Amino acid sequence: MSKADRIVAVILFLMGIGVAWKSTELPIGILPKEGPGGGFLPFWLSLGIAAAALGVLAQSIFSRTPLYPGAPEEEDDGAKKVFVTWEGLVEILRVGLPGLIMILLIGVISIYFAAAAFVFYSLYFVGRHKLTTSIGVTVGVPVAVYYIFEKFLIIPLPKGYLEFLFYWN
Amino acid sequence: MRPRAAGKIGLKGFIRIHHLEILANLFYGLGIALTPQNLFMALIGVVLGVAIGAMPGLGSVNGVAILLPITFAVPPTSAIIFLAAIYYGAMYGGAISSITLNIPGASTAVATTFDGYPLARRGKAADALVTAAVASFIGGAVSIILFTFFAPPLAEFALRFGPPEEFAVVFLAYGTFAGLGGENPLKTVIATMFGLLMSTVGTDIVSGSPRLIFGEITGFYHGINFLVLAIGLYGVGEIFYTLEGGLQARERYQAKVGLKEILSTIRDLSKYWGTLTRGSIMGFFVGMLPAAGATPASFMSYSLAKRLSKTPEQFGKGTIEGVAAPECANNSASTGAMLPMLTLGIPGSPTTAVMLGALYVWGLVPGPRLFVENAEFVWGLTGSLYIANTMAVLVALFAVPLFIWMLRMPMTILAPVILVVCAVGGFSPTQDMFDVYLMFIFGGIGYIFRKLDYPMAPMVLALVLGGLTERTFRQSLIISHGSLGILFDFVGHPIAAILMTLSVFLFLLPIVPPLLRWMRGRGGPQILKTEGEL
Repeated sequence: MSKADRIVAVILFLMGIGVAWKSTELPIGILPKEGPGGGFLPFWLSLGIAAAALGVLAQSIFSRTPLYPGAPEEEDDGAKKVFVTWEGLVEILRVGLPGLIMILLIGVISIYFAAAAFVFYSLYFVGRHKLTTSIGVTVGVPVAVYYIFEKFLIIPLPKGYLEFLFYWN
Repeated sequence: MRPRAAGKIGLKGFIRIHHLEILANLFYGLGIALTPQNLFMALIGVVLGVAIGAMPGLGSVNGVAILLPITFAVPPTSAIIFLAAIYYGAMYGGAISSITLNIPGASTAVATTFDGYPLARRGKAADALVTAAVASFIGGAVSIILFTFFAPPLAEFALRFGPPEEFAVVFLAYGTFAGLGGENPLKTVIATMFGLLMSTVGTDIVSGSPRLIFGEITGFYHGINFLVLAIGLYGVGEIFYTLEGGLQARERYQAKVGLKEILSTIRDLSKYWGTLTRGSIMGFFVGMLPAAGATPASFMSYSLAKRLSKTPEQFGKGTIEGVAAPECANNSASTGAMLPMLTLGIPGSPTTAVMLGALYVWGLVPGPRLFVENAEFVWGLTGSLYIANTMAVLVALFAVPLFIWMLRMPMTILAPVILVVCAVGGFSPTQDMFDVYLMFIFGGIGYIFRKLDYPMAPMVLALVLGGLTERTFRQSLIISHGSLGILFDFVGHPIAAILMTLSVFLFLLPIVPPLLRWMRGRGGPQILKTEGEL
């Protein structure tokens, strides 16, 4: 666990330094008439994040006793406690990865067909539900989304290259 | 509200006039809440809320964040009634899975498992469910009455605030998270600053020049929408977190709730009116604190009830007093959390932080002026709380078998459907695919942050309040010609100075115990153990 903690702290530190650099595009000082410049807040905030991330890193490396009230006592094998088990990661990726593919497909084959493909895959192949259940949910979700968003809320959702399918009448 | 010369009316007279004015406004609000459209919104909200609250892993904040985009089509008053009803219903629903499955439906219902599940194992699931519903109703009723009479005076007081005072109030909210949040204070500070940093992406409010446009991506020009973050963290991230655990099947306890069970349980409950009153009142005030919310309120109410009970040895083995105490407090706290959201623009819980963001989306400015300029909105919401509370108790009592049936819906159906709804919800506010990608990335960040104990509520809060924070900070410094001293000016801005001092104290609070321990040498006593998350 503490390994992941340290990696994230280092990433946050680097991000803080990077964003602080980026925010110098606007004035970062307090100007006499206009008050703080546009870069003032982002600059100090990102430096603050970098400093606090260093603190978390130090905390995780040097401290055995909790630094704050209510902290879980780090046991001897605390460093060996894993961030995520392989089984857990597989469970996440089995739905998460198709989910990511669905999101990338939204701009190509419309949100409705991307959602249908994703729901069917997750239900039938991952969840091993009955074919009737899988098809029912696969059809039901996009149809419900279509009627709620396009018809009731009048918010057009992305349709990609299949735009023509939705305007046939 | 008409302006009144201060000091001419005595305190008693002031209160009496206020009460009459408030009662008149309340009837006005009930009239708004009772229109067919708003009544319908409240009913749908309550049913969805109870269902979402009952789902293990999903609580009011997930429900409100995921369903927020569908409120864009109705007027703000109906929309807030819908969201408040979800919030309310979820507090009722959380108890259902706590009692029948021993899995808390939401963190706010964790304390309910302590005595609720033992009761179910003894075949008294129905008693526990009725207790939860009735106690929730009492907590709701007490807190709504407190809300009705506390909100207008507080708003009137806050009307006098200028930029330094407003900044101090916001700063105090961040301070409460760091000092009382219970998590690692350094990580809380990182989460808060990260949220604030994200709010500065887009356009600089003073000079109008583009700011922090990474890689010249056009999606950054409109800024990072709080909904994208909220749905990412509380929708996608939560799904990842739940999937990893792999929801194992547990023994389920069926319950049949009839009129007979309801009446006998109410008779038993009447013995515990002290516990119910204490829990309700305490819950309201704990809920008002920005970092607290319903979860700590329910734990505090449970331990207080145990300490003051005539039969403390029964706690944990299955006593209805142990179900009543957390359930009245969590409902009461959810109303309490709305008080600072509406009057000061500072949310009292993660769910109200998301609601606050919604207010901005609808074009309303939360804070004291809301009571003057949008009386229909404020009083419509207040009125609807009375109605939603009554609806929720009826739904929770009579639809129990339906919700228990629904709990059998496996995660393999729920997770993909929620992911689709999240994608749609991430797209609709800005109509930009970039935000959907960003939302998915926030989901990953949320999952990692959650596992490493980085709190998410201050991040959402800071993103929502970021604009206000920066505007009031810069305005204050413009007033003072660049001197930070204006924030600690006890003569010119006493309220701001007091609040700022209090905030600094809260930020330093977590350093005190380790410092004391260091001075005394190792092995000092463990101080202040905060239980549970937000």
